[in-house]
Formats: sequence, structure tokens, C-alpha cells
Amino acid sequence: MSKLSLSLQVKPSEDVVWRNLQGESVLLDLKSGVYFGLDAVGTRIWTLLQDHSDLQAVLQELLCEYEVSEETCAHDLMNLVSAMAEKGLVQTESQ
Amino acid sequence: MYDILAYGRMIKDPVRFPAYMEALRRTVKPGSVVLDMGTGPGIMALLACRFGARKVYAIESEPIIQVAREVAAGNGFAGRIEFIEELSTKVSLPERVDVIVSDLNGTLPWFQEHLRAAADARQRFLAPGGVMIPKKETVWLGVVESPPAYAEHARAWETGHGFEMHAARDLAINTRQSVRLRSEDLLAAPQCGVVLDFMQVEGPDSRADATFVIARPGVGHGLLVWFDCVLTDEIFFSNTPGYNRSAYGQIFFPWTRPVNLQAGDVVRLKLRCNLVADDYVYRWTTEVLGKGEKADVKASFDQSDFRSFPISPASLRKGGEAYVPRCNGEGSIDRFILTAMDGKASVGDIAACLSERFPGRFKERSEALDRVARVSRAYSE
Repeated sequence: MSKLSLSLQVKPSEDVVWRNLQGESVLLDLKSGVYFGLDAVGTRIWTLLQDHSDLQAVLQELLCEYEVSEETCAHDLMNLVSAMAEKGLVQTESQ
Repeated sequence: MYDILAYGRMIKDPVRFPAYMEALRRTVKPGSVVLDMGTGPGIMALLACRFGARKVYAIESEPIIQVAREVAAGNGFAGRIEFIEELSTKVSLPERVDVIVSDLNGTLPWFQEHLRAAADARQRFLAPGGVMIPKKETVWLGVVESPPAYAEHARAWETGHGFEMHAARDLAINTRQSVRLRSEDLLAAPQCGVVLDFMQVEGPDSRADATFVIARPGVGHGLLVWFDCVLTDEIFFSNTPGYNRSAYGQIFFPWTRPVNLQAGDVVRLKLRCNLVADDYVYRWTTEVLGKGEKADVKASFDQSDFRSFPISPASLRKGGEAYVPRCNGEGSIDRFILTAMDGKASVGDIAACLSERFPGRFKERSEALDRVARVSRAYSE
């Protein structure tokens, strides 16, 4: 896996199916059979990753939607993406 | 798993059953040792005996095996058939076998643990030069136009008696359905998706990619999947569209919405199925390109039957890795029963103690007996 940074391309793994549950979501890793939960913000990030694999684009969308500093938002985004990459829920590659 | 009427339909199936019978007739030789996986009421084991098998191991984890025992005894084959009430993956046999026969398909070959069980049986039980029946299965994919099939998924939730019902429609449109369609419902030539060679198959999961060029204009409603089964080199059957005498139809995977298709449009389909716990989860993705042009995406769907059933968020949370569970009242009852199952107390003894320990919960002795019996059946040796 590439070292995580905002310049990475990140896309949801083909091995993951997901569904929305009233704003939150549950992910199922088809290879391991393990379920994962995302809160409302995590769900928004997951859906943005479906459309934009560019993390910078995801960050800009989040900054438009939430009242948060860019530094905090980038930090939280990277934490979530890092955790998801560690679990194999997303694939990353350098641009 | 199946009731007796379902077993009856399988035995009466004018396509599958005669094919299996002929395959066994040609394969089983005098003196053969045969393994019948998932024997059900025992009909394959009986046929193997009739065709000369010296010994048949008939494995079945469901209670229907008791019927098979009685049927074998009633036909004078009890001495040649050894019935084993267990999952095949948990069984050891004293010898290798010449033939392994199984009819473990659902409407598609992906059915519970069966592919994994077949691979396991081949590796552990099949003698060198032995035969697997079935030998090979080929899964086919098609793009279909079928307003009646699609209506089953969508119509009730689109009319909705004036109410907005998209939450229900979202589930229905991700639900696969057994259907019986005609060859004229296909909008393009079928494509081979997966070949399952039972002499080589290893794991339970599969994926199939297919590209279709639409042959005639119509409305695409979804993906149709079926399979050809080669039992032995010359014996096969199929549930291909239009060949609907079998008890089994095809599986229809609806699209999120119907798509108007023109001749020359290109449909790219990806189907994958993964065994999760003891059932398959399917994912089907669809991309429709007008005349095959990348710039003209007429539709793009990503669907899964993981989205086909209601889920309780509270129930999901309880299965989360970080959740700290605490036993509720019903759990406490089962824990009490399990603790009391010490190899000395009878079901009746435990039920009496249970009634005493939980006096308000079990008003009648029969209720306590039922509860203990249920736990005993599930967890006692």
C-alpha cells in the first residue's frame, strides 16, 4: 500500500458491498465476511469516494458541506481512509 | 432444509433425475465404492446399489436421512449402504471411493457450502481415476426483456397506493428471483460466465465478466443466469431459457431501472458471488453503452442482494467487533440449561430446575421441557 497522503487516489474495493441505513451505513467485506459500520460522516466520505477517487476532491466537498477547519477535516479524512485501507475496504494508488 | 414434497419434486424432475440415473448406470460398475453426498431420501444410493455398487457411503446432515435408512432397509440394501448423519466436511471414510455423486445445486451451482464440500470430498475421498458426478457445470449469462419478471420487483412499490415506497423498492430491486423465461426474452447472445470443473474446483466463490452486443431493440430488465451441467461425458442437462421442463428455472437479477436498448448497444456485466457465513452474497454491476461508445453511458448500476433484506441497525451493532455484549434474559435461560447439561441430568430434570429458577417465565412444565429439548437437540452429544 502506498503511504497515505491527500495526493493519493482512493477507491472502494470491489470486494466490498455496502448499504445505507438511514444515513449511516454498513459495509460487508465479501472476502472475509466481516461487517463494518460507518457513522453519518463516514458514510458521506464513502459515497464521495464512489464518485471521486481523488482525496483532494473529497476534502473540498467535505469543506463545503461541514463547518470544520481544513486541517481538522484533512486529519479526520486521512484517519478514516487509513483505517479503511488497513482493513482492505479501499484500494489506494499514487497519482 | 427441504420438505418431503420438495424431495418428491426432485425425484419427479423429468430432466435432472433421469440424467442422474443414466450417469450412475454408466459409471457405477460391479464392485464400485460410491459416495452419495447429500443423499436426502437416499435415491442415488439405492440406484448405485442397483447398478452393482459393493458399498455406498450416504452422507446427509439433515433428519431426512432417517427416511433414507428406512427406504434402504425396505429395499434390501441396508447392508450395502452406510448412512452417515453429518456434514461431509466433518466425516472420515475408511476407504477411497470410485464415484462421488451429488446433486447439490440450487437453481444455480452456488448453493450454501456445496462447492467447498465437493472440493473437499474430491481431495479426501476420491480414489485415483475416480469419477465425480457432476463432472462440470457451465454458468451462462444473458440480458433479458421481461416485463412480468420485472414487475414482481418493482410494480407493487411504484404504484404504492399513492404512497412513496422507495425504501421497499430499493430492497426489491436488489432481490434475485427464480423465473422461467423463454429464449426469445434474450436481447443478445448468451455469454459463458464461469466453468466449474469438479475435478479442479477449490473454493466456493466465483466471478464472471461478460460483454453483450444487443441484437434486437427492446427494454432491458436485468440479467438472467442459468447453467449447463455435464454429469458424465455424454450425459448432461440444462435449465437454459425455454427449456423449462425441469423443476429448476433460471435466476433473474433485476436492474435498478429498465433501460431502452437499441441493436448495437453494448452491455458490460460483472457478476460475483461470495459465500459469507452459510449463504451466498451476489453483486452484479452493469454498464450500458449506446452503440458501445464510452461517451454514451445509458445506464450504470451497482447492485447486490446484500441490499435485499431489512436490517436492524441495533442487531448489527451487537455483532460489531468492538461491541461488549451482556447476556439478556433469554440468554441467561440458555446458559442455565447449557450449564445443567452435565451428562447426568435428564431433559426432564433440567426442565424442573429451569421452572424453579425462572418461575415467572415458564408457567407450564411443557414450556420448560420444550425449551430444554430445543437446546439439547442443538448442543448435546
